[in-house]
Amino acid sequence: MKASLKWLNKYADLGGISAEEIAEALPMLGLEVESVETLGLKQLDRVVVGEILSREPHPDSDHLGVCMVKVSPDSDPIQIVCGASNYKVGDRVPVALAGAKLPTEDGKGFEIKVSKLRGVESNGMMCSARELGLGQDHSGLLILESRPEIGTPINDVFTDSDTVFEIELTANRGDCLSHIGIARELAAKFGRQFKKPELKYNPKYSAAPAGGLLESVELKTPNCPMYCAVSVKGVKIAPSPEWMRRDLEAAGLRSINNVVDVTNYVLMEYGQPLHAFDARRISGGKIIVRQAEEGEKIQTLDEKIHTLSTDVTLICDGSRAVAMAGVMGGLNSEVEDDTADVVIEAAYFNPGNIRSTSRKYSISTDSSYRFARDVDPQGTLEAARRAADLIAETAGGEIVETACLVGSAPRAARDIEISRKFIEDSIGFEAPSEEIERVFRSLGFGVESAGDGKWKVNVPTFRSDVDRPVDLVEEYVRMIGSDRIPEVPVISQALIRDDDPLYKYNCAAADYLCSRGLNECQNYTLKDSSKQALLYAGSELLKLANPLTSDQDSLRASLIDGLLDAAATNLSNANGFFGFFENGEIFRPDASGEISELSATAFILVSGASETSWREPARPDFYAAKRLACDLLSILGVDAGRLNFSQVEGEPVWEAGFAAGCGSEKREGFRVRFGAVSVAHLRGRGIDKTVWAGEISFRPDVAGRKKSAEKFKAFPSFPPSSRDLAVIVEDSEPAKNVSDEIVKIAGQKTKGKGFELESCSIFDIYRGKGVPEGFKSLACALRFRSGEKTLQTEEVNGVFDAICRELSKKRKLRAQ
Amino acid sequence: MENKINEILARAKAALPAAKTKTEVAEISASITGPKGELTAAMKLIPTLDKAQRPVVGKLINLAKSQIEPLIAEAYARLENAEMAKALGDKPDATLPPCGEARGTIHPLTATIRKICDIFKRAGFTVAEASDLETEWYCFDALNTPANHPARDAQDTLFMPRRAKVSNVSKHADELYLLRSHTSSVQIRAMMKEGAPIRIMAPGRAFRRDTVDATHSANFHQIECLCVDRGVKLTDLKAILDYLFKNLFGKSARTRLRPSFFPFTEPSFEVDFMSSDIGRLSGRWIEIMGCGMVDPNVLENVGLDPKEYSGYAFGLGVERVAMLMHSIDDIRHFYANDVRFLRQFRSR
Repeated sequence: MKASLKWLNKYADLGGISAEEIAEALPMLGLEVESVETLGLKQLDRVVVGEILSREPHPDSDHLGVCMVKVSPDSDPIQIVCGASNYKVGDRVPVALAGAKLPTEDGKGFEIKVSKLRGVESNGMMCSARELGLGQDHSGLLILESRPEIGTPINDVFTDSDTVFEIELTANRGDCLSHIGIARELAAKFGRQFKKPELKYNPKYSAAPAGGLLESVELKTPNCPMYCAVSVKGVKIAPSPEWMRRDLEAAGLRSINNVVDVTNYVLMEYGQPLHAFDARRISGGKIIVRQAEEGEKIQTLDEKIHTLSTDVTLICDGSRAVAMAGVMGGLNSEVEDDTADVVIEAAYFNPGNIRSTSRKYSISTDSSYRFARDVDPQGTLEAARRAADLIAETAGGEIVETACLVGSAPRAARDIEISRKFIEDSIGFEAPSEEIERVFRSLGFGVESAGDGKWKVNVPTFRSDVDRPVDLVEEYVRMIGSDRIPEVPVISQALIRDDDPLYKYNCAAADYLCSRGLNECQNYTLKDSSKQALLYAGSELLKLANPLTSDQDSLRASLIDGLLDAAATNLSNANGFFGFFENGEIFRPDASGEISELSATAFILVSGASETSWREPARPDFYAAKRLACDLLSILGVDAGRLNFSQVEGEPVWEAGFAAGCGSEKREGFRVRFGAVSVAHLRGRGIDKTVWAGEISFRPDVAGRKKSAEKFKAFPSFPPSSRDLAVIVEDSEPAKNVSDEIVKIAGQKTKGKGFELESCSIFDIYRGKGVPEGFKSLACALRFRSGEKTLQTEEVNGVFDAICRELSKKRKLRAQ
Repeated sequence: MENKINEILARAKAALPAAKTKTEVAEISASITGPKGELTAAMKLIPTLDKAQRPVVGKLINLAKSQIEPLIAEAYARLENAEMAKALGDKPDATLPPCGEARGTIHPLTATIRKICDIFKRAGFTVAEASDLETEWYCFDALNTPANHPARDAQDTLFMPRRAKVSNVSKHADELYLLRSHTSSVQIRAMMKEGAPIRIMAPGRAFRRDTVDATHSANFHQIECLCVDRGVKLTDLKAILDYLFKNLFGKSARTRLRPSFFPFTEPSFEVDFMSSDIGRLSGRWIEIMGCGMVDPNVLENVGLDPKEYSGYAFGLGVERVAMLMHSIDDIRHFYANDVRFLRQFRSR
């Protein structure tokens, strides 16, 4: 809200405190200042009223004049060179003396110095209106027709200057959506007097006052617990007085007419929205507050027609709705130029209801904004009385002596017990008793000592946010200033708790992939559901209920898409790179439609995207992707050596036959995929290079599976003995079938021999001469070792030959 | 005899260092110390000599042998070294760029999270994690956010449809699932699971229904920080904030608490900090985050007695810190993943 300093001064004596000090104090009270605007003349030092005693032509210029100007009753006139021509000798004008700083648009200011203009000394400057920052008039000097005393500071001539603070309030401070509220805070902060307006109208209240303009008021909804109406007969609608128009305009409101202006004035003064009805338009003299009927229509003051649902609260007369309660009046009942009898409504509406109506129909008014932040229910009657006083003052008429009041305030002042010890225990430093009392009193709270460093604090209804002792602690800190909090060291007791294993995994995985030359990415969690639907089964279940845009309407099912985006971006920017990875959460629905949130790491290696080098770099391939995937599993704590990888089928993101994986988040808790990204998919995204990728995803608890410390196993100190063999198998035969078979046979053949097959590794795959078309030769290195002895050639040969014989029963061995 | 031995020694000294191949060395050594070598032949002659001569000549031969044998070993070593050195290939050009993939980069957001977590770790905090998908109760109700609070509105927070079921994110009752609008929900899960005392930091993603621009992003990162223990005071909050910002932005950094309002803390503050070490923003108060003392209602909601425990909490925006630290002017850089951006932040 916009608060005018001049207006604030009506309730708090802020004299002698500069606008800058106030602008600095407000945020430290929790009232954020969005902007500070100066209206009228800014404070200008060394600018005074001067009288032009003479004018001589400039010896060296046609348009300049050399004037003698008297700027002080007690000193000699000074010589000023001036280019204007609209003045005559004897005129009084503003004179900026040397050292004065005039406002400029860039805010830096323009300093006046003694100088020579075409050889003639000039000791100051006579000013136009624009040069003083008073509007745009620059046609000549600002002639002061009122002839103020010579030497008068210019700010004493133009006294209607004001500073307007645009204040942004947190949701809890509805009380400060008013000049009275802000003035109370400032008075408390600066230790100044605070006073509210004196109220003359002191009505009796009745549900149906005799002689009033209303027959009856009926509250049919809990959203309006209290309704007050003041009747004023025979007003004369006219423009508001000058002071009221000025104040309203300073607060950013347009003046309309005296009656409407009064309601707005009280709104800005007390923070209580009021509404003025033309009594003629209240059919049957009845006011009924009720919920709208489904589909009911109302045309509001802004001429928009709204179709309502039952959650909107309406003010109705005997036959129709006349206002959306607390939000906006209806077009059918507003005050017009010929209105004579007015009904002023002052009510309390349920904040939540007003907020939801305001949001739902996108109507934000000064009124709804305040009601939504919980208006002071006790202040409602005060505001009605103030409005009556002001209408009597500005529009005349007769105020009906008894005001209409139905219902009662939903909350009352409350007592909070608090002790000095509680405050000091909360803040950690000394809080003197006198200061505690002074602070609470300055905020308008009642303070009653309960002895022994304890008080009963009575918090009036205007502070809906202060309910508990801890709220009072906040008030205390706010008023004494947070700069009083002393500097102390961090003291912290060690706790037996370690970082979440997921964090540790993410750090280790990122460090690993980074050291392998990949760049870490961050991509948005939200994806386009229509694009995900093509790639991931069931991804429609990942759609949000209320997405902001269609390209971000769904949770991501995989990290790979984001990485492909990164690849596309960098390829199109001609950036060289090797690969990308990301750690993050992904979401996957299962067959039953249940979503799981999974942690994941994905990477891509883009073939031929590296910066050109003087030596051809190794191209990434399937096995490079498998390396990374297996190492990530091992970082996660999964022994990849024990896993059975098989080809991935029916997953459109992968190129058929070029991708493999294993695991399931449901069963093992993790899942891994690696291989080539679908070529068709890449081309569809404008990527013309092959991409090898991998993703491991897991339920976050997998990272934390308890692993006891590894137990050391002793290893033999005797040398191994190695033998090689080669097996010819069909091209499609997985290598692991062969090595598993060898391991199995070796197990049988070494039984009881005192040594065993330590490892069997494929070291070559050969196709070509000597191997039939459609077949391949797998060369395996067998390593034997004993834990007890150095192996003799003969005993190893014996076992090796037995293995070969057994193997050759089913397989064709290739001569070595 | 003596002359003969000296002659053999001289020949060995000349020939062995000059040998060009291992075969040559073998031949030379065979011709001297081999079974048919000259020194061996000389040895065989000893018994034919005078008794008095025998030990003298024997000594001479042994002396010669002990000089020749290292020469042979040296010759072999020289030639074998040369052979192996050949495998080194051509002499390199130190000015050519290295081969193989250069180390990749850690994303600046990750790096910032790690940096901050490292700082907190030294103050006795440990990392807690929780899901990005949350429920209304954990994200709002438990954090003392009233039912009609604007943050809960569908205009600001991203919700899952009513029918959505999530296997591994627990609900409190039958509330809606949503994408957490802040990492404060981790506080709730951690306190409910672990109780107090607790001192955690929770880095992670948060989501708001914001239009993407230079300062807004559909998702962003926060580090939630929570300390609950017996006797935690406002001074402790100020102390940890000073500690954090001095570590992040240099020892000259100062913090200022501006009263504010959040449903989950009381009192609540906005934190401003000032540093002389932050480029063109030096010497100015910079608004950085919200903080406060954990509201007693929050403690009650997680089953802790506010009479026994108190605490502080705050949520630091990672993007904001990274932008300040590195003078990054547009939040979208973080999510564009252009390597020309990513490679500018090669710090650990």
